[in-house]
Formats: sequence, structure tokens, C-alpha cells
Amino acid sequence: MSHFLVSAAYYIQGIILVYFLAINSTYTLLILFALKDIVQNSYLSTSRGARRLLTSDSYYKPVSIIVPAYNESAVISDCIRSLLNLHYPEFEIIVVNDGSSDETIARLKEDFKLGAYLKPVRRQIPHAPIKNIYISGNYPNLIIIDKETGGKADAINAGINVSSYPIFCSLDADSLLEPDAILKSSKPFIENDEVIATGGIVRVLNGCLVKDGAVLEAELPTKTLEAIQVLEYARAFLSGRTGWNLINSLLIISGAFGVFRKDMVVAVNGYRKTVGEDMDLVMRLHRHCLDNKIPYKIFFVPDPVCWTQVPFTLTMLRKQRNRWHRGLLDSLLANRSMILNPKYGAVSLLGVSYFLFVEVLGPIIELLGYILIPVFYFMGLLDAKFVLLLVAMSLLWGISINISAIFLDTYNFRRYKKQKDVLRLCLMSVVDFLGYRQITLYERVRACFYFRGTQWDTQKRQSQ
Amino acid sequence: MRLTSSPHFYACLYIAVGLLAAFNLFEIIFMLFHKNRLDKSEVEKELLKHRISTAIITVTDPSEVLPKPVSAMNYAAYNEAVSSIIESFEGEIVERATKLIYKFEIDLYYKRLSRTTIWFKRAHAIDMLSALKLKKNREFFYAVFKSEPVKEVRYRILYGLSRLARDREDIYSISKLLATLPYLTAKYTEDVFLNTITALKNSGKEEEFGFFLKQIMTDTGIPLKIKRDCLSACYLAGCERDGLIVKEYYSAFQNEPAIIIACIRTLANVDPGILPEVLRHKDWRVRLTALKYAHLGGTDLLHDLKDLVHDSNYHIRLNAALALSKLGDPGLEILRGETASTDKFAANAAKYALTGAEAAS
Amino acid sequence: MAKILIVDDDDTILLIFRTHLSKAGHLVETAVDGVNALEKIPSFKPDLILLDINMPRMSGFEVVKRLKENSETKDIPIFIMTSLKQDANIKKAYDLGINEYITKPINIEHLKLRIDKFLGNTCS
Repeated sequence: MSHFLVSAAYYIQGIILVYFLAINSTYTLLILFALKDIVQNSYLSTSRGARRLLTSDSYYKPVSIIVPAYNESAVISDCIRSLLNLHYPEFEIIVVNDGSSDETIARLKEDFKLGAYLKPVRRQIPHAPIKNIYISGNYPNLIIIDKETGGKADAINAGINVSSYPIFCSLDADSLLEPDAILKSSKPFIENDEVIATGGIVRVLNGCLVKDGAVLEAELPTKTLEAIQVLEYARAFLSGRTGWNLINSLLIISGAFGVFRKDMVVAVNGYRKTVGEDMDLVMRLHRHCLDNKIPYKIFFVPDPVCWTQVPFTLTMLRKQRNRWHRGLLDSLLANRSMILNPKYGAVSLLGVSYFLFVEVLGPIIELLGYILIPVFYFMGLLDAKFVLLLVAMSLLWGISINISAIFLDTYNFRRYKKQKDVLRLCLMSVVDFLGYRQITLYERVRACFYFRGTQWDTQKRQSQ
Repeated sequence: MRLTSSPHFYACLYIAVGLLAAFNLFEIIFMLFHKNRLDKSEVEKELLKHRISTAIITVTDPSEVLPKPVSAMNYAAYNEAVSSIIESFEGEIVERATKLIYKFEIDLYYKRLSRTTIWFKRAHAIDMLSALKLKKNREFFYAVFKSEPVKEVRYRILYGLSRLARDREDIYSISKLLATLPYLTAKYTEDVFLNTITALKNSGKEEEFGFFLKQIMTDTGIPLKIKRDCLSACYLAGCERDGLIVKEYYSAFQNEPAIIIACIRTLANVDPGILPEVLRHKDWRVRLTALKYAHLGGTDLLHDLKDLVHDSNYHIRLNAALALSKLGDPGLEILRGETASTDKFAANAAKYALTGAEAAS
Repeated sequence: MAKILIVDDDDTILLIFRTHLSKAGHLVETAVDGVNALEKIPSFKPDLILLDINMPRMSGFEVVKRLKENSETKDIPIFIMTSLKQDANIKKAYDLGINEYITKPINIEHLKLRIDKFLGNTCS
């Protein structure tokens, strides 16, 4: 009996150890790839390159910016005003009011002199019925869709049907786009016909100095919970996404800021009504192009920036992470034909496998580790020295990954001007392991068991 | 069991932990140091650029009052300041700027850089050289193109060459070199030829482009897409005097919708007589392009436009209605009639065009 | 001797214009974009505005529109500077009420002469 227990314990330890090595190695590898990509980008794209789009009559493609809004009356007008200041030759803003129960429409009618929009709409993708479409009197490139509630995916689909331009950008209502964000994220579409989707970086707006709908000064928020998320976003985007560019296997383009080619999205029937609609769309785009042998490119451009509000209370954070994880699970389930399928090449064998083994199974195994290692230790199956060294190693390795992410950020982008902020971020790298990581871990494992819920939670608005 | 009992195992672990801790510390210190250095370097660069621009305007020989560039940042400052000037100005200040570049051998610096082993550094050097628009770089670009293996860099070299185009021979060589590369995008190709037209205009030889167009019309070595993009570039640059040559293309390439579309944009202004034919073309994209210029065709087209409002294609219906709305009262009359049509799609298109027209007046 | 406001997002261009036109005896003020320009105009009261079309935050066309809508500023002459060449854009600019359309690359000596001639004509 005890012999069985001992060998079982060794095997389990072995699995946990192997997982730990594999996951951290993957992160480190992704960071190295990201470093190469960022260095390459710094040489290849200059601000002069982006200016070419502006100083030409034709060297650009017009973009539709679709903003789904549900009960966002507090921030929607500011969002629109900041979008109207975008530095881009030709674009339209389509705000989709998804059956809000507050006075979003009344506010908009007042602020932007809305009149009826009569251009016939092509119903290329299905969505909940539209009640009315308005166009602004003083801003002819501002269109407001008033429709029945259908969820974020549904709202963006409506926006796609109404849009007139070949490229669209989906944007959250509480996010702020930098003035040259569309310029930089649409440039790849002009330079290469194969590009069908690009994602930009999402940064944390909390704590930043904002004036007239533009971020003047990037500063770390004072609250630790928010500051840790700055680190997390830097890690997730700069090391987590850039790294995949090298093998054309980017699987998530953030729902907060993504730019797509309309014809491809229409070909896969738009967004699906689900919790993780952003990842699901990208996976389906990969599948569609690989199935039909269409040469394509989906990649992450680290330059254009979108600033977004992050949760500032623990409850909000947990709900968000729970939702994100359920979205991930749903996307993987719905696109399960892409799991370990050699037909789909690197996207499946590397990209999807990463999500399955590192992002889905990883938290479960890590949680098991937290529980079992002390158990084994107390049962006398483990050496104290071994446990301590293992813990020290995993902590230091994890911290080094965090610091590498901050390094990547400061290497090229240097948003946070103050030395104090950079140092504080390094401190956050350590604090990450002292509770924050464990909370998000727990929430993600919980999400696996509560998989059936699909509500799009409303988030408390933080006024600036 | 065997693993943990080996003495070396623990030694390895200790070393690993030690290395990681040291690495973390090193990374933080290096990062702060690097950030400081970059911040300072940026401030210096802006100051240097300011100094360079002031010197170029105020002094006849700016090399006398400016420091020779030493670091990569210095060279970048010189390049950016001078290329800003070359991009936006002409005349004496451009000559001074160009002389400065040669005096300080900034072009040589980037030519050296364009031979590094890393392809994106080569691409960057080529971009910097292109921005300077130095006529003496022409031979250099041709030479580098021949020896360059990576196609991303080759596209940039051609772009740089296009800004230095002298005459129809130059443009012809560029188009032949373009033909050897895989087709990138329409916008890139158009931009290349637009650059050549701009370069010609600046030296007063605009008509050379027309001769070039005539030359490649029958040249089978130049792919169709490139010919189409040349025609588009011609339109975008506002070259009305090439109308005759475009007409020849229109007649010669009746089987190629892409070329016809490119021709329509220029011909609609110069020779609206082609409009009735293209409005009835079998390819819907040709019809669509024709519709965008149909309002130049006058009232003869009213009947055709009325039919097209009932077309099965959404874009054609909409643009037909819009064209009618721009043809004065007779057009508006037809639209008003269409709003009562049993064809709901046509009625909607008509309503939309009518409100647009009424709002404008 | 006139008051000229120059609006362009490129520092180098602003510097060049400022130096050149100051040397010619004019009083020069610069603005980096449309918003900045609209802030400076009421206090500076320029006799002429040189305006670039492609600028962040507010395009040149928008600036012209705002100036022409305001009764205090609608008579200030405007020269537009741009690299756009299409007829549609040129027409749009003239429709908005600008006085002269200058395409880049600009010959600064010729521009100076045009400014002097224009101001000379309107001053008498």
C-alpha cells in the first residue's frame, strides 16, 4: 500500500516537474521570439513610413471603426470624441447601441445632432433586428445603430453589415485609441494582400493622465491590483502575442482592439454568439484559410496602442478572468478540429496545443502542485531542501519572465517615463507570485467547472 | 529516487537558483541603465536636429558650424532633418542640405550599413538612403538590387530607385525589375510609379511617363497588373495629357477588365463617349467603376442608369441611383419614379440617393 | 511687415519657415496642430495663415472650416500647403474658401515673394 503511494507520488511529482519545466521554457522561448520581432520592427517601421499613408491621396484603405455599446452612456460621448480626432485620411465610426437600458441613445442624439441614415444595408451576416440607424449632422462619418440586445458579438455583426469600408476595427467603448493607432495597424493591410487581421497592444488606462480623449502621460496606477495588471498585460501582449508572429500562429486578437478585413470575416459568417468571441473568430479565420488553401497572415503589431480600463476591485477582476477562461474553453471546444491536427500545421500543433496544455491544463496542474507538494512533504515523501530549491527556482524563473516582459516594453516603447514606475513594475513582478497569480489561477480552474454560463457581465464604470 | 539521491543534482539546483537570481538582478540594472541612455540619447537627437535645420537655413556652408556625425544617433539625426527638408522643400536650401550630406559622408555611412548580414538592418539602411533622394545613388541602388537575396529589401530598393527616376529608360528598367519580383500589392506598385511621375514633374519632364506607357503597352515581359497600376498612377497624379495613350490602352485591352477599369477613371473626364459601352460591360466591376463616373456622361445615359438601378448587385444599384442624383432634374425625376417601384431594393436605393441630393441642395 | 501664423506638425518645417520669414521682416508665430492654432489665433490675430493639411488631432480642412464659421476669423487669408495632388482635394480646399494652394515641395524663395505680393495687394 505505502509502496504504491510512494511510486504514485514520484510519478505525480515527475509530471508536475515536467510541466513546470515545459511551461516556463515555452514562456522563455516566446520572449526570445518577441525580442527578435520587436528588434526587427524597430528597424523596419519608422514614423516616416506611417506618414506615407497620410500624405498620399490613395496610399491607404478606408477603415470602419465599430464600437459595440451596452449601457455605456457615461463614457460613450468621450469615446466618440476621441475617435473623431483619429489621425487617418478616411474612416467612419459606427456605434452599435445593443439595446441599452440607460439613456445612451438620448445622450447621443443630443451630443451629435442625429438624423436618419438611409443607405440600404446588406444583410451579409445574421444578427438581432435593428430598430434604427442614425447619422450625425455635424460629423457625417459618425453612424449610430440602435438595435435589440444580442450581445457583443451580435452588435459587431450588425456594425459589419452597415459598414461601407473594406477594413473594420472592433473597439470597446471604454477604450481610448491613440491617434495614430489605426494608421499603424492598417499599414500591414496595404503592404501585403495576404494580411487578413492584425492586433495591436492593449495597455492599462487606470492611473494615466487623460485630456481631451488622449493619454498625455502614462503613469502606473497607485493601487497594487491595477499595477500588477500593467505587468500582466505587458507580459501577455509583448511576450505572449508577438512571439507567435514568427510562425503565423497568432490565435487571439484582443476584443478590445483588432483590425480585420471585412470580406474574410463575412466569409466565416462574422462573430459567433459566445463569450470568447474574439479568439473564436481568429481560430475560425485560420481554419477557413487553411481549409481553402488561401495564403494569409494574421499577426500582432506591437506599435499601435489602445488604452483600456481594467478591473479595480477583486470581485470585478475575478469575474473578468472567469469570463475570459470560459471564452477560451468555449473557443477550443467549438474549434476542436484544430486540436493536434497536422492538417493545420503549426497553428494547430504549436498554437492551439499551447493554449490547451499551457493555458487550460497548466493552471489545473499548477493548482494540484500547490496542494500536493505540501501534502507529500508532510507525508515524508519529499526532501525539505528539494522543495525549497524547487520553489525558489520556480519563483525566480517566473520573476525573470516578468522582468523580461518589462524589459521588452522599455526597450522599444518606453511609455512609463519615470524610473520609479519601472522599478515599481519590477516589484510587481515579485508581488505577482505572492497571491495575485494564485487568485487568477483559482478563478481559471473554477471556470472549468462553471463552463455553462455565457453572460457578458457589465463592468462598473470608473469616471476619469 | 535515483535522481534526488545524486549529489550533483542538488549542486545543479543551487547553481540554477543562483544563476536565476543573478540574472534577474542584472536584468533590472541593465534595463534601467538602457532606458536612461535611450532617454538621454533622444533628447540629444532632437537638439541636434534643431541645430542642423537652423544651420542649413542661416549659413551658406552648414558643414562649417556643425559637428561631424559619430554615433548611429548622430547619423539618424542628420538623416531625419535633411530628409524632412528634401521632402517638403526645393531650391537653395535643398542644395545646401544635399551638399552637407556629401561633405559629412552620411550617404557612405548608410551605403556601408546596407551591406550588413542582417536583412532588416539592410532594409533600414536602404530606407534611410531613399529618404535622401540623392541622384548619385541611382547606380548604387541598381547594383545593390542585383546582389540582394531577400525580397523584402528588394522592394525597398525599387521604391528608392523610383524616387530618382530621370526618364523613360529609368522607369522602364524599374518596371522590368518589378516584374522579376512576386507581385506585392496594387498600392505599392502604384506608389512606385507615382514616385516616378513626381520625380519627372520636379525636373519638368512629365511627358516621359506618357512615352513609357506607350512603350510597355505591347511589351509582354511586363505583367498585366503592373500595366494596370501604371495607368492608375497616371490617373492619381492627374496626368490629363496622357489621355490619348490611355485611349489606346482601352482599345487594345478590350478583353482585360482590370485594364479597362484603370482606363475609365482617366477617360471618363477626357472622352465620356466610352461610358455607354462600359456601362453595359459584362464584368460587374467594370460597370461599377463606370457608374462612379457616369454623371460626366450627360443625359444620354439616363435610360441605362434607370435599368441599372434594378441590377441584382447591391453596389451597382446604389451607384446607379447616386449617378442619377447627380444628373440634375431629369435624373431626380427618374429617381422619384423609382421610389414607388415594386422592386424594394431599387426603391431603397432611389430613396437614399434622393435624400442625399436634396440635402446637398 | 506682417503677422504670419504657420501651422504644421513637422518641427523642421516650422523652424525653416520661422527663420526664413522672420529674416524677411515678418512677425512669425507657429502652431503644431489645428487645436494649437485655434488657441493662438484670437490673441495673435495673424494677417495670414500658412496651414498644412495633414496634421494630427484636427485636419487642415477642419481648421479652415472652423475659421470660416467664426465671424472674427473668417476674413483672415489662408494659404494651404500640402503634398496632395488630386483635383478633388484642391477643389474641396477652394470651396472652403482658401486663398492659395501650395503643393510641396515648396520653394521658399518663391513662397516669400508670393506672400509679399499677396499682402501688398491686400494692404492697399
